[in-house]
Amino acid sequence: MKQLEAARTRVSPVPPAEHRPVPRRKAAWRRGLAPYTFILPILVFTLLLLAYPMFYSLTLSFQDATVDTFVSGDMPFNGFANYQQTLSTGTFWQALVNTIVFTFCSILFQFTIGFLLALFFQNRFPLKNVLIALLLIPWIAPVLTAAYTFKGLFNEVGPVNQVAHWFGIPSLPWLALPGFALAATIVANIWIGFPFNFILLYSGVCGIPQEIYEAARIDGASYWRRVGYITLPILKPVTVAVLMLGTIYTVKVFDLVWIMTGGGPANTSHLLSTYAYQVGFSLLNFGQAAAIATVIVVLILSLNLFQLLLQRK
Amino acid sequence: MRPPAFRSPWLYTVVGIIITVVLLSPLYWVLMGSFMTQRELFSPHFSFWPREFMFQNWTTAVGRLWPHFATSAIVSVCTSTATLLITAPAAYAIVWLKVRGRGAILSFMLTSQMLPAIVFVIPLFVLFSRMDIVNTLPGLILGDMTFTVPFALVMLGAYLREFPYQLVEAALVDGAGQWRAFFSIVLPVTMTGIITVAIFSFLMPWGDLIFALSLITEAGLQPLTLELYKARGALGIDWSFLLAGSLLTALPAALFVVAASRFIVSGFTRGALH
Amino acid sequence: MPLKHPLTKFPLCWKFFVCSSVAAVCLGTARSETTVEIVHYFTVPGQIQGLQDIQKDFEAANPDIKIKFTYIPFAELLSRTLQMAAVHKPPGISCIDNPDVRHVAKSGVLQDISASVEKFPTWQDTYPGPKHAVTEGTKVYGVPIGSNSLALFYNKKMLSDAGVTDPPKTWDELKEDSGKLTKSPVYGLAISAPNDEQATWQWEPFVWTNGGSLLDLTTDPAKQALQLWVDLVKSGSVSKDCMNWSQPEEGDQFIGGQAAMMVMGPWMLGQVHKSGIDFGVAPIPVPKQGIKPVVPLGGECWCVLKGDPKVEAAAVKFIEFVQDPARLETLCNTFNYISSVRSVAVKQGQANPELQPFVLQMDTARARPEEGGANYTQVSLAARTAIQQALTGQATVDAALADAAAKIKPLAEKK
Repeated sequence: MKQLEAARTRVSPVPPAEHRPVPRRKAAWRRGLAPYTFILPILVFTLLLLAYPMFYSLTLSFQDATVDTFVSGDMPFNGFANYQQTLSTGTFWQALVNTIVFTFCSILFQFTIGFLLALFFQNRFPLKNVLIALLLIPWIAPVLTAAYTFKGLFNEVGPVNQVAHWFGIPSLPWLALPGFALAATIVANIWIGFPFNFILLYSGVCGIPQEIYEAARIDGASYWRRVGYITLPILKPVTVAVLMLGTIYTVKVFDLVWIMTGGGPANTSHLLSTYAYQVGFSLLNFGQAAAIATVIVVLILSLNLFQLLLQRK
Repeated sequence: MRPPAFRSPWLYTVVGIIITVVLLSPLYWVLMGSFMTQRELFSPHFSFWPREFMFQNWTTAVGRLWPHFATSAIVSVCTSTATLLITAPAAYAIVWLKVRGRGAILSFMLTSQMLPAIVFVIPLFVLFSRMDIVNTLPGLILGDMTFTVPFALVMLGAYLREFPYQLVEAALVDGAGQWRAFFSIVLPVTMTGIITVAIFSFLMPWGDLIFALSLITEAGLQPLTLELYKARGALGIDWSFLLAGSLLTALPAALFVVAASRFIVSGFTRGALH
Repeated sequence: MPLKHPLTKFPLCWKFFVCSSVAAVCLGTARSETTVEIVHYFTVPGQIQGLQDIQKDFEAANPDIKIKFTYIPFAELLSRTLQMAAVHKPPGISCIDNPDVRHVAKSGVLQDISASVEKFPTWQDTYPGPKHAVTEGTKVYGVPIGSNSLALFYNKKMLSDAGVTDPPKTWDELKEDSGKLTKSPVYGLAISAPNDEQATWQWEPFVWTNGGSLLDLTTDPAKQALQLWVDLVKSGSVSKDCMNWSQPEEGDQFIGGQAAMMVMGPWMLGQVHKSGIDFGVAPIPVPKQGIKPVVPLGGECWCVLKGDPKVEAAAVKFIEFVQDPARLETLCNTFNYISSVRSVAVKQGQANPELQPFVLQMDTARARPEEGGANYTQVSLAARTAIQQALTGQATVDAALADAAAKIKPLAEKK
């Protein structure tokens, strides 16, 4: 462990005391303000383009905003009516459970696959960059295509059922069975999402200086021990960021499920996002859709807090 | 970092290719299907190889998508650049300069991301209409930045935590200003993270559909994703266009990543930079 | 990037901007051209061509009016129209799907064009179904572009191979023939029953022809109609995947040869022709011989939005232009729609035998909002949940329909 610390400091040297010139005292206010110029543009951006939509949406969730009222602009406030209506619909609760299951399973597999790939690609070998770019394609390709592709794969006569035949499992109409439909969408989502985790983690691992590993190797640590004691701890900020962003993006997944199942059969594979869409754009009840959106925000906040708490331990 | 070394690096390449093929296998259907007719695509007997290669699917797709490449490219490049310009300094300031209000900014950014895009675009549409930038590229760029900036801030913040601040301290002591230190020390050392974030800030608008859908109706200004979406018409799905078009859309982005990933250098060279 | 613009450059830029905008305004008013923006969701190249031809002809006849077509994807058209109206930049015309017209009219964005429309010679000749879709009392909120409905497409070769001489005409024949035509992996019949409007739409011919109504699903006719579908799926004549197919995907099944028959509308004729399949079109099978099929009405309507009176007038002029019988016939043929104007439709049917079953059904075709008015969308939502529950076996036909009926009752009374 001492060698570890030594290795870390060796990388970032501070010039020895005798070579340091006498520090000039910068005017106190100057030092104080300069950092704020760093964040000025982003502050302006946030206030203008992020704050406004958020407050608009929050306000909308408390208004009766449907076809009749939206256009004229005077949407009467109806207190918690939108929320009450949402919370009393069975589909909403089903969607909530589905979303939690969907998110948890997706992230688990996406992160694991992404991390293993990040480790593998640390080696230098020919065609490495080409393979990395190819592996990004599931994420870059339009979700439309991925959705139809997996829809075709899970067809009654599709490859998944054919493979199932080899194992003696009878073919199922995956997308037409409650429960299985959701599972199919999860598989599709894992496929789409692993490159995101892969590249971000890969960059993070790349940033770890070799000397640290050398020191540990000399100490006799095996490969997986090095991963466990060096890579993971150093990578913690990146891991937290990737998991947090991943959770947010996964809860918002919409296109994929909408095209694969439309929330069916019989509303059993709805996610909160598809349910919000159905309410907002099919039934044109924008107020209620905003209420569901607020619930989504609260859900994600809780999930993230939950993750952070787990990290603390 | 190397796991128990194989004798030759080419062995890794082989394993890498196998992994890639397995993970990308669903794309096989897309690739082969792009050469098939609709009738063959949906025939009851799943065919692994097109009976005859309908190259005209591809020529049609290229013809329809070509005018939109420029739009997508401009939007993606501008979004990526603008995002980095305003986010890199901010991430640095938040992580190392401990500016006040950093907690609020971060949490606000993150919370804004939790709102589903479909709900987010309604007020954005209203706001941009009032600012008269609907149906303009700058409008779309600003719209796309609403998701690239928070992403960039969070990820850059994370990558920056690995940064050795002592380097900057030394420079400050030497009399350099904050910005000078930022440009000459922080940026070069964290280049890996910055390039990665730049790549994603390019790819996210490239693949975005919802914001483009809500903010652009002018045919001439539509990015690739919107043109491709037309394959899903109300009356029928244009499979040949969809499949060939998807690959055409993904290809330039993949090439961009190949080019840019050369800059993601492994850790063992980083120690030499200062 | 514009956020950091140094203040010093402003005055010069500003002067230039002001001058050029004044010039633009002057030029604009000098030409006094009215632009009518038409938002739509047509994507088939043939349709686009048809629209562009009309645009050319119209602009030639009316040099002071310009037409601009703006494409908005199907699912977003309604909300986008509303949003544009909300920010006071409404399009001139919106091509709204007929079941939504009266719902949207409630928001006040549509202009009542009854005064002008009643003077159109073709208006009197319009079928009652489409007319009802756009009429609220004495107000008229749109003019149908064309209509479509549902019929039975059948693969001639597969039928003859299986020894089925004629396409089925009754429900019993339908069940029997579908069974005969099912030879793994080919299914006898394909329908579209996904978790959206299309499921209700495809089911309506069956429940309505049988005398049932969406407003009371607990009646026997409704139960029998749903039982028909359940039987077809249970017997294996219809794939369970039908619950995942949109109509385009259902069409893919028929074109690919995975289904011998399909319930489909005329808009698919173009694609089916292209595929080279030898097919025919027959009227929707009815419960018993002699009953006339009652099919739901599809098809979009030109709806004029409230806004600049000059634009509104120009829009009405455009609609009148399109209503010319010869032009109407060309347009509807390009779109594979049946004209909502009787004389034109009859001509279409005579010229094209594949359109004939649709034409014959137009007399009894029913506009969907007749069941639930502005609440039709929610009525449909309840109905299709019942359909899917019954098809998956999650609930019995009786239970599923009772459930839906309970949800629909308050909506029907709200009308």
